Amino acid sequence: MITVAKHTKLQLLAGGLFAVCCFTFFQSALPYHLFFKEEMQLFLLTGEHFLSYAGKPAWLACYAGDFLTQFFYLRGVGALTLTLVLCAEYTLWAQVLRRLGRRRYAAVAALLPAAADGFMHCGLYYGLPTSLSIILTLLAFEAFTLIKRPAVAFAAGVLLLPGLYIAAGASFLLFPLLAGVYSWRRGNRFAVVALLLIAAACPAIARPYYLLTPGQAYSYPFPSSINLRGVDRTREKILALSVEAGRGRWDEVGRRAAEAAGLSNPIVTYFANIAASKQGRLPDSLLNYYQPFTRALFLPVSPQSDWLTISFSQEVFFHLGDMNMAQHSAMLGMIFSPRRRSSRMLERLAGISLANGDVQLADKYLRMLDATLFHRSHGRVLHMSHGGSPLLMQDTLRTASDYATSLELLAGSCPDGGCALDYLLCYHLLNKDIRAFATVYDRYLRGKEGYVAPRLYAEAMLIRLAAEKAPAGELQAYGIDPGIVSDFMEYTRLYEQNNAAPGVLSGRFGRGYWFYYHFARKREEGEV
Amino acid sequence: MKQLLLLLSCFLLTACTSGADRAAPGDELPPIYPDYAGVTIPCNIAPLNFMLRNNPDRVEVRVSGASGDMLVKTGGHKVRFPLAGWRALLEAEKGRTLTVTVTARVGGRWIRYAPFIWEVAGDKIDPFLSYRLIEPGYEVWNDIQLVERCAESFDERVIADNNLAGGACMNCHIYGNQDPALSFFHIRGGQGGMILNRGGRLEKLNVSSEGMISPLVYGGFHPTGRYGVFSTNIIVPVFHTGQGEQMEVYDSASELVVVDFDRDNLIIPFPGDNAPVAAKPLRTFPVFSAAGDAVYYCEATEPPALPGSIRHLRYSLHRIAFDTPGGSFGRVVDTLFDASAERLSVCHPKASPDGRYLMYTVSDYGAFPVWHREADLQMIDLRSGRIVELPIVNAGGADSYHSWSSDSRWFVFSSRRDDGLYTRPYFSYIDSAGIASKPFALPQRDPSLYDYTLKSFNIPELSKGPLPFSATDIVSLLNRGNHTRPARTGR
Repeated sequence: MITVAKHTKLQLLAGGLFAVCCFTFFQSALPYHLFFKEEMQLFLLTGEHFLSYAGKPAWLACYAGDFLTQFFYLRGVGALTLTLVLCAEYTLWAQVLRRLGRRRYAAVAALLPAAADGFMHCGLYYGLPTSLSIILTLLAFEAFTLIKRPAVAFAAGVLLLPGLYIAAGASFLLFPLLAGVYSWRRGNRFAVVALLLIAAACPAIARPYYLLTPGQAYSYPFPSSINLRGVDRTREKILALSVEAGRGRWDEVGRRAAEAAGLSNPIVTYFANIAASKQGRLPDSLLNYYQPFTRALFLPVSPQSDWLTISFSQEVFFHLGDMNMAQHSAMLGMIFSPRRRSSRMLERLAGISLANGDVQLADKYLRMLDATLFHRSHGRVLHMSHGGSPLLMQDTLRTASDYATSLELLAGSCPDGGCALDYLLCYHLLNKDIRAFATVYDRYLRGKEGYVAPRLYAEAMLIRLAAEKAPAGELQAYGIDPGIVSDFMEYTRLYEQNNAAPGVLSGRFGRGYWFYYHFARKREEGEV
Repeated sequence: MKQLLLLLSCFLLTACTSGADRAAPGDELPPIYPDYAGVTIPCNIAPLNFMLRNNPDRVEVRVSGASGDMLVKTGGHKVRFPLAGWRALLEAEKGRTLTVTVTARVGGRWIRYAPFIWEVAGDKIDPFLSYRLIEPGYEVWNDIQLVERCAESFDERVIADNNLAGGACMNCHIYGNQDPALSFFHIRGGQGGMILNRGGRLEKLNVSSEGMISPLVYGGFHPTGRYGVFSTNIIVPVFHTGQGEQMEVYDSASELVVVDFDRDNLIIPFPGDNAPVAAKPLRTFPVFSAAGDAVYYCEATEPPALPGSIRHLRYSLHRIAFDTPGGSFGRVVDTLFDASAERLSVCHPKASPDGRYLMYTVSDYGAFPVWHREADLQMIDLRSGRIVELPIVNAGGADSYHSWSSDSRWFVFSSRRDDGLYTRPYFSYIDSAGIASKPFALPQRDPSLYDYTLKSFNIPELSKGPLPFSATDIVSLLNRGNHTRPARTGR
């Protein structure tokens, strides 16, 4: 026999270990997932926002969950909050298992459901509302077990079910199962069937009011897809880039992107490109990263794009000063965010409006941010304001994917071309359009006093000059380093000598433009 | 009874006095939002709840009329009028002027602002309106809801929700004759079609025929409900690069058709001109006249090369006769307003139900005025042909799409004046002499709703009563395919 004192000690020990493991795990493995989960929502401390939760089931779980999620903004608080919630859930599971007669193993067995719920938080779309939904249901079951008379308990269970669905959502389906087992053990077998039938009917009856599909009515607030793969380390690295970018720490973005360069991920490259551009080093670092043609200069947004890609896509337009496209992308990021409201996108929209001088629109967004706990406009404006690149003023029409037109106009709006010039030159180079590259280069950079062409541009220009069989004087006019010319001759010799075999060239020239020009190929999916 | 309620509420509300009584009168108008100062309101409108922008901690509002006063005291910056007292007050003050005095405590000091007035028109506005709630996302959507709102209260219900329709795009809901038993909207995508509510019965129609360039797009009902006139358009969205203008949407081709719902949805094409497709005029935004004997529409007779010359794309206002019994177009086209000659472009014409006015949107160019900040409402007096500009109605943001009330005294329109991006429904009154009044925003239970919503209220349309269907009826209809089914009656 295990005594009560031993129960308590065992539970404290197991719970304590569970808490330490939870905090360590979330803080070390998923800190940026937690930051990002906060960015994915917009929690307003307003009455209207509170009432909006009544439009869907699980209003209490969702409101409380979102309220707590806003604290994920603070470093370490996300892991701490999750740990506390999961420990509360563990404690309740242990209590529930004891009620169901599993006294001996309750403290250990309760770790399973609590840990399983914690594991689900590795997914980006699984949040605190779901855990709180489970906790509310367990609490309801605890209250149910306090009623001693079976008939009264049954009646209370029946009355509790609709309210529990309204407050906790789909997790309420646990209640008839637990209450059923509990009642069965007490000899009330009728209660099992009756509670299950009533529980099954509740979502169907409430569905027209909540305007949910049948699947949603029985699963809300659980996300439509559950992550069973655990920690996605690549996504954690990508989210780190996004979060640091959102907080304006571009040096940190550059450092983390360099560390993640080996992932050969377009989004890592995308952030690396912007970080390099902010330092005026885009041509120097371009080919240090996996470059799937121009798809890491501008993230393609299409009906097939996932929401993360869509939400990241505004960053480059904001950096370059193309505010219409930045607004378009940020709006899409907002529209396709899981909750249709994102604090990160709202900050960006506010920044765009400020940069555009749309005072009334900026006021609207800032008023919303003022109604949050951690995104109040005061002190945040610096992060939102545009970095100083000239804005695109000249008007013409273009499609959403016509990046070249935007870049040409942006470069033209600044005497020295600004950061858009490097983007435009790199855009042409990654498209292997040497002619377009040379035209732009000649317009802005040829003969520019004191200008020394980065190696990338020099290599590209040598391809052009070689193709045109340009005289030596032309070479001098571009001021290309003689060492690069020697390398070019060596590359050409090796290329011809080895019948264009990339293996021989990749060691010495693999990070150069000549190698990219010869060997970068689009895969069927459109990537290198 | 209403008088009693009013007196009772006034007694209760004026039972105590405060520091507000000692505030010295000022010259400035209160910084209220929405801007309800000096507006004309229908006697059946919901309470004009508002808030003050200067963060007062106490507000007192006295609404004074010939029949008595109403005093509302609030502990924050939001002013909400009690519905019963409000209704009684407006009923008692029909045709008269109310004076509104706002006193607020800001930073510990009471300020009494200059009073403003509300003219209470005796003409009631149609009590319901529908609109589409959608983010202003450049023709991209995720969540779309068609909503019906009671203008006399704050009751709102969803009449179609794309979450229940597989995420399909839903176009706006259009009434015929402001009659809730006659309306339509389009659902796009594989399961989609035209959702037709005629005589309270719901149908899903897939109207198409060889030669039509697209499914039905813009349109309206014939007064008899037998016909609908529609445009078919190939719509191209593109983006501006410069500041101030975000998006342009133009038609690369468009044409008009009439659909005869009584003759198995027979399609009656617009009289042909046999011109090659590239040189064809662009015709769009058709509506029937109030009597049903003509179709008004917009036409770019010689469209320029697009999108390069988009700033030269201008639509003028035309009319062609329509023979109701025979169901055919006439042969002669009249130009009502040669907007192109004025370097303007006309969109969204709609005739007042009494047939006197034709209101439309004018912008500098193009056919998608909601993205044009310069877009304004204007109307033509159909008896005299005189153009009536509406300076008191129009404001800085895009003022576009409108819908008349059944008595032709009120209209609702969508305006971006508040922030330049999110459209809100605004109402304006037109008196018997054709003089318009300063518009006011659709009142909300919580006056801060417009601040905190990220949705636009698209294509507001007025109606004399509640629609006889709900969002679940639409889902049932979609799931049943193209079969006709009776709609529920009653709300």
